[in-house]
Amino acid sequence: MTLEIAQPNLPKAPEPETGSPRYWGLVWKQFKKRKLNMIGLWVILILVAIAILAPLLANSEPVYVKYQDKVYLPILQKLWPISKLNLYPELTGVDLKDWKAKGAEFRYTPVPYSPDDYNLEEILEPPSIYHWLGTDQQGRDVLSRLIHGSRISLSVGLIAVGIYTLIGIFLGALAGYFGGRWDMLLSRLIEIMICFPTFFLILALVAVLGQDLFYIMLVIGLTGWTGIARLTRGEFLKLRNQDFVTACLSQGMPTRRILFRHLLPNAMAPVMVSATFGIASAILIESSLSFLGFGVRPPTPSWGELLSQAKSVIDVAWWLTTFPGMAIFLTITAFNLVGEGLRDAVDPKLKS
Amino acid sequence: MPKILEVKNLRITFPVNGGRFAPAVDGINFHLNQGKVLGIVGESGCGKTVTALSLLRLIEEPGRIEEGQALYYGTVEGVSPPPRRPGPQRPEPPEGYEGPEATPVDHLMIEDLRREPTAEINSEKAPDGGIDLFKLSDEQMRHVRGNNIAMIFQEPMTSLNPVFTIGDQISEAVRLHQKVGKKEAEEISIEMLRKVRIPDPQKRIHDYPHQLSGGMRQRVMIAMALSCKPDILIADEPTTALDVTIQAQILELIQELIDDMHMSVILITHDLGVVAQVCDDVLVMYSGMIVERAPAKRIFSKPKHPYTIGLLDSIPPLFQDAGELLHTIKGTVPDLSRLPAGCRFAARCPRMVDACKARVPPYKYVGEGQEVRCLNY
Repeated sequence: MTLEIAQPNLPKAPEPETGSPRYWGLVWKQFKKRKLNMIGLWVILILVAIAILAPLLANSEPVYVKYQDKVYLPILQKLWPISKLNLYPELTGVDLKDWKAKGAEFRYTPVPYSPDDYNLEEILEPPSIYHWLGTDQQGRDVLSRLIHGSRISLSVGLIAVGIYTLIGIFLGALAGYFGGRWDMLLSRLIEIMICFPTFFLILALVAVLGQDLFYIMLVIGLTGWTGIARLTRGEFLKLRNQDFVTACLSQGMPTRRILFRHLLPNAMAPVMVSATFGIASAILIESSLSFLGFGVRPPTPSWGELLSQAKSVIDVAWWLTTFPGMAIFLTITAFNLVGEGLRDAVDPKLKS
Repeated sequence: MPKILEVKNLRITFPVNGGRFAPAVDGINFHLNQGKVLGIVGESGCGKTVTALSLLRLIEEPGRIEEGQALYYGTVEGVSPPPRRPGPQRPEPPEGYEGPEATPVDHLMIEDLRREPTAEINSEKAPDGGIDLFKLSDEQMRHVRGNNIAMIFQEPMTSLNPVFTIGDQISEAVRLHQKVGKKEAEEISIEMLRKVRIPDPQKRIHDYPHQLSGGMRQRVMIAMALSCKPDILIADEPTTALDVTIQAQILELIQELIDDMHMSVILITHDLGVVAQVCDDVLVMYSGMIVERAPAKRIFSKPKHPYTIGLLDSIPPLFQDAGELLHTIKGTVPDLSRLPAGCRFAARCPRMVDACKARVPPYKYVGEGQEVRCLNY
């Protein structure tokens, strides 16, 4: 049979737009609209930059030494993995102070103190030109400790949340998609987990496992997944009845592929929002743990540990509590601002 | 005419309140001939979609395929078909014999006469050797889906994943069943999009579903379904969600692709206009049973079952006085959990006799490939 096939009168393609506006593109557009969101985002980006560059920002090692017309960059020797290269064999065993006396040219990082450099002659100095944020009971520079502490605080936040997001997504996806017995099991488990006072659970676990940074991340990760799991479960429950899932099945796609390649990106928006808030609370939990003395072992600088050290001298050295407190406050606020902005941006009801 | 798929005594149930089971599909038999379009017609809830989904074993819990066979006469990856039972040998035709004498009727009539009477299909004489889809392992069934039997759906607006470009989605379907690289899969995608007449396929593959209209999306779905060159295409109301002009285009496209790719199609619809346009044979389903089956032309020229007649009468006439009521079939579909013992249409049937209430009428062959389950014949 031959049918006369009319060339279909198809609608004109949208304007020549290379690379279509992806969903996240739209979210970004919405996110940008509010100034506070952008401030929060910038604060986070700057914090991350500080954390990554910490050894280049606060270090007692000179950055640049010029001696007898030869240039050395001694700080590189302290940086992993460059330190493995042994760049300057001639510097081993040399006291740089001798060079300084001999008229060598020295340049230092903006904060020329390492976080663990104690100087008993400069105990509890208030903020000054030399120590911008003052010194603590052992004469350590507070700014340097804050800068290095940001590494601990941010990495605890990111890694712990990373762990629990993975756990939450995996369990939530299984429960939401397969339903039935799996769902029953997970929902009850979540309810049980929620009944525990999480912070004390973490305290107890850290006390048992030991005060290691890795354990702290792990414990926060293992106890925090319930929220994400619930969200993911709800999203998958909604998504599994979508027609495209049946379409995927009818093409013979394996279930795991449908779950994690096709459904997960559709469920990501609320998970991202929750994870952003989660980072803030993980940082707070770590600070609280350190403050109570269950966190990272001193002298490792973490913001909570700084506060903890400061509590005995709170009436004489205001700078010891103020600045770490402000750092925590600023970080938490920034993450919460971004989380809130993200939540509003992904909410389809607010899009007009 | 070789069969490609044969469904025998298919029964699908869903649990209802009180531990009982409602037979959504109650013992249906049909077959699909190679290269033909089989229409399944019926109102909502008569079991059309469930039948289609069962062929891919996609009935969701708690629905269950209680019994029946779906014999697929093709090759499935990793499955060796059971040996064919040698059928009765046909006597060799004598020397010089050149087939039956042609009768001087127009070719359409010949088409009809040559159609094998469907009554034979129900008999046990059907050749062995098919692969029972209901007995395959899940892994084997995954190979069947998309590769041997593909499906397109009613709602093109939601049948594509919103977060991937259409190129990604077609390529993925290709790569699920064919061992090809990314680049090659993309080329196949472009080729398929060209086949379904999407202009500028090189550019369109980078589009997201929301950038396409309903008709275009259905074309993409068709491209995706056909990308692995399946033997059978199941189209579940492919044009219901589209407006009329697009409907016609999509139907023409399907028709053309069938001819082009030698596919067999099961077309599920409640639109008799669609049946008239593309189907070769029609099954009319009512309340989980097939009440009438016939070549498509016969359904329109000589409908037998009162339900079929009612359906045809319900098509609004082109010229009708304002204020004149549209024809309807009185009454409602019986509750699947409380089915009558006799003919399921009896309560609504204008030609009901007492015997109708006693038992389900058997199939009655009324000639020219038409069978009807009605005691009036």
